Amino acid sequence: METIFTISDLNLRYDQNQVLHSIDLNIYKNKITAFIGPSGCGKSTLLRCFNRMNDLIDNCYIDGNIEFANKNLNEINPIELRTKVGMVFQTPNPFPMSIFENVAYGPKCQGIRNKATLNRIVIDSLKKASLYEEVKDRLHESALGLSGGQQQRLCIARCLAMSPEVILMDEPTSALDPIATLKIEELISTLKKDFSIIIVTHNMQQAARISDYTAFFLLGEIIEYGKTVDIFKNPKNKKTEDYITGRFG
Amino acid sequence: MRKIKDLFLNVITYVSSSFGCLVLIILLLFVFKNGIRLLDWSLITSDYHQKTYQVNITDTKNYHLGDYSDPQLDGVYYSSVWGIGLQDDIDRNNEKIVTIRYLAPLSPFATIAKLEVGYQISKMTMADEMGNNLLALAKNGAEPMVADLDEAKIITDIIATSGGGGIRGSLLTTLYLIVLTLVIALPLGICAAIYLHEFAKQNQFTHIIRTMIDITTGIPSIIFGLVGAIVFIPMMNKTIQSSGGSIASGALTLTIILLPTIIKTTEESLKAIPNSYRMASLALGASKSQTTFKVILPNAVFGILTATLLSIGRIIGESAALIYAVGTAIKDSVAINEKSTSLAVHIWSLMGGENPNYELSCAISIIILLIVGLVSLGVKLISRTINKTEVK
Repeated sequence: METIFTISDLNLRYDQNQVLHSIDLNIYKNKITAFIGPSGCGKSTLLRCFNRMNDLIDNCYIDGNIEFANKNLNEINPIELRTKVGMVFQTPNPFPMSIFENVAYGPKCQGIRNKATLNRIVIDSLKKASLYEEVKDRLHESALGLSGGQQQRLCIARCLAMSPEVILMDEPTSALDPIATLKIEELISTLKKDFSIIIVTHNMQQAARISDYTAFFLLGEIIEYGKTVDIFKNPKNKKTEDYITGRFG
Repeated sequence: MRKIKDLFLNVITYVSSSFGCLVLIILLLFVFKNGIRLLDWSLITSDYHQKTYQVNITDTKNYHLGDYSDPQLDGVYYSSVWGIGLQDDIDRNNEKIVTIRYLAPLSPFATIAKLEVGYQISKMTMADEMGNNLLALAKNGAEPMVADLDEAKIITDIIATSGGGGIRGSLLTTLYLIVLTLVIALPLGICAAIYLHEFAKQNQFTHIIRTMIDITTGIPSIIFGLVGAIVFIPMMNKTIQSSGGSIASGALTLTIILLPTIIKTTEESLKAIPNSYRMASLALGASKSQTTFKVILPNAVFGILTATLLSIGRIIGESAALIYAVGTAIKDSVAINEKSTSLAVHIWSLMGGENPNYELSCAISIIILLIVGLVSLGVKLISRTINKTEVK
């Protein structure tokens, strides 16, 4: 199986506060990998390592090696990297622009000016994010008028417009109601064909439902990592078992 | 017991708020009551300095006297001998004057002296048939002047004036100052705020800069005026051939005064923009400057507009700093490299002389208040349309 990210001996600290302890992890291509674990265990921090968003935090220090498609992450220009590794955030955060402009923003930043090309990209992305049918009549209205679930799918569409290889999702459904959550989960499952997805979630059922691989984090360490079926059916570690059965966390 | 206490506290708040309102209303009433008489279009459009004409009507061969028909105007004293109607009036400097209200087409005042309706006559020296001299002064009124005219055969000396007391020059200067200052200060201030908030690392250095900006906000403007006089006036003298103060050096001085306010207001509006916009933009592979100029700045427009409004208010109201930098000589022809006065300094000049002119000062105050009111109304309208397009 092809790996897309290879992490070896990754340590991360904010000033003196060590958040991640010697992480070793392989992320597989065209699979959904879920990060689970209690709050503050470092899973979102690790997620931000993949597109180097941690660079933006002044007091964040990273040691260790991350390879993206067999290339050291630090040798890739972060701006270029982020076009290949997209990110969807916890709360839907569309720009206060029209729906069209939101999706076209990324390609425009890459210098695509041709109207027909932009139009095609926007419509394709919205279709892939299964939002097009709902918004096709109001592409030029403000994105802030959409519902929370639609906004989050718009954010996914915005991310898809860059045609990335990997999509990072940081608790993408935690701010949404169950129906919107379900739609996003269905969407994630269909996206698996074309993209590798890493998703951080607090919702154990969600991880069990949609992911192929699951990593369980505790206090900045990976306690257990493997196929989701194995993790949830017969966890090897006692702590994993306690966590997924709801005995702590 | 608690009810009484509540009532008491409520009453205190009512009284203090109504006191604040009352002071404002009294101030407005005072200004309007005193200034409204002078408030008309010609105040804005006419020059401050009067034009003086010294003429005479002595060549008896070229005119005839008598039988000019009386147009019967109210309050106008008419001399049918000379064909001229005069009226008592008070000018913008609060002095008694005599104004020409009517001129018969063939009156010697029109044909020979070339005076026009609306001119003021301040003094006339005439001679009657016997060669006796008659002297008519404006301060004695129009009636005795007309009585003397009816006696007179020749007029050896007329001193007439036109216009005067207007604020066109000062208004223009103020507008020049606003435009010039904003053109320099807004880009500088906005860019500085963007640098401080978006690009600079938040460390000791930016902390010091912020503290300095805070301190400069509190410095009395007269000190900036000194800086303007010492630094900008020589600078402008060299570059644009001004001599002494000029609008250009005034605008530069105002720029220094306004920069802290503009930087602070813009930075506040940048702070109010959710960090998630920045994160979303950067995560899409936009560069930092793309993020700043495509996402952050368009959302900070309201703050920038507020900064602009505050700046315009400050420019219109500033007097101390401009006394040095632009000068105190009230001018009718305005140029960027010359001395003149802004509206506020115009008031200062009017009140500074031996006879303070309250009325004209109040009229100018009304105009200043009107401009400020219009500007804030404009900003409100713009911000409303922005809000409408953004959150629909």
